[in-house]
Amino acid sequence: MIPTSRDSIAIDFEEGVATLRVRDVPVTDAHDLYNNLTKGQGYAPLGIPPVAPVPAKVSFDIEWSGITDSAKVVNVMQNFRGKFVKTGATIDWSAESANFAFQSESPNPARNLYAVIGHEQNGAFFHLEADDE
Amino acid sequence: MNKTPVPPWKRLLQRKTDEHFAVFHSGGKSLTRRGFLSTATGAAGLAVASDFAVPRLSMADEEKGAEPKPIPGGSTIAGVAIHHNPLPAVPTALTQINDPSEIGDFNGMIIDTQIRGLGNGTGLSMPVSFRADMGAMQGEYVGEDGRPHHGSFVFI
Repeated sequence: MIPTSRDSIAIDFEEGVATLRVRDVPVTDAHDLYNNLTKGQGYAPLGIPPVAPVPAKVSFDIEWSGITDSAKVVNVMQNFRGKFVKTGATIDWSAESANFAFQSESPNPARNLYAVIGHEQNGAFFHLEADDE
Repeated sequence: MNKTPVPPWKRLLQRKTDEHFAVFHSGGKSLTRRGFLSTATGAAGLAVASDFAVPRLSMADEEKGAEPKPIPGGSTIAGVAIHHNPLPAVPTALTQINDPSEIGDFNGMIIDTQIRGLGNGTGLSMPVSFRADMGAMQGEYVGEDGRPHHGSFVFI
C-alpha cells in the first residue's frame, strides 16, 4: 500500500464511476508473486527459484463505471459495514525497469472480474444501526 | 501509456469527491479514545512509505508520519499473511464480499477491482497475461499513533 496524492483518485459513488491514475510510482519488481512475498527467496514448495528484486516504476489508469448491483453490507465478523456498488472496470497500465518494459493491452471491459466502489466504515468506525438485520 | 488532457467530466468527478469530503470527512468527527481502545486490533504493521501525502487536513491532523493500521485477518499465501481480501474472481453476491479495505479503523471511500488482461513486454515474442488486484482508499483513519488522520492510498 502506497500513499498517493488525493488528486489521483476521483469517485462519484452515486453515479458509480471512479478513476485511479498514478504515474511513475517507484516500486520493486519482484518478478513474481512468490518472490515478492518472500523478498526474493523464491518458494521451494512450488519450485519457484529466488529472483532478486529490482527497482521499477509503474503507471496505472483504472476506470470504474456502469453499476450492475448495489447493496448495503454489514459484516459483524469482519467488523465492517458500508454501501457498495458493483461496476464494470478497465485497466491500462505499464511498468518499466532497467531491462524490461511492459505495456498492457488497450482497456477492455470484458477483462473485469469484479469491481466495487464503496463507502465503508471498519474497526473503530464500525457500528450497527437500527435497521440492520 | 497515453497522457490525454483531463476532460470536463473528470473535473466533475474531482468536484464530487471534494463534496463528499466536505460532507463526510470534515469537522473533526474523530472517534473517542474509548471507542478506539475497545475495537482496535493488534494486527502486524504494514509496509507504507514514510513520506506521507495527507490531503486537506484539520489542524489536529497536520503532523506527518502516522501510518494506517492494517485490517485484521486477510489471506495467507506461501505462509505470508497479507492484510488484504481480494475481490472474488467468480460470480459472488455483493453482500458476500469481504472487507475490501486494507486499512483498519477506516471511514471513507474504497475502490477495488479484480481484473486481468494481456500485454506486451520487452523481449517477449507474444502477449502475456496478467491479473491485477488493485484499488485505493481515501478517507479518515486512526493511525498507528492512535490519532485521526485523512489520507489517500493505493494498493498495487
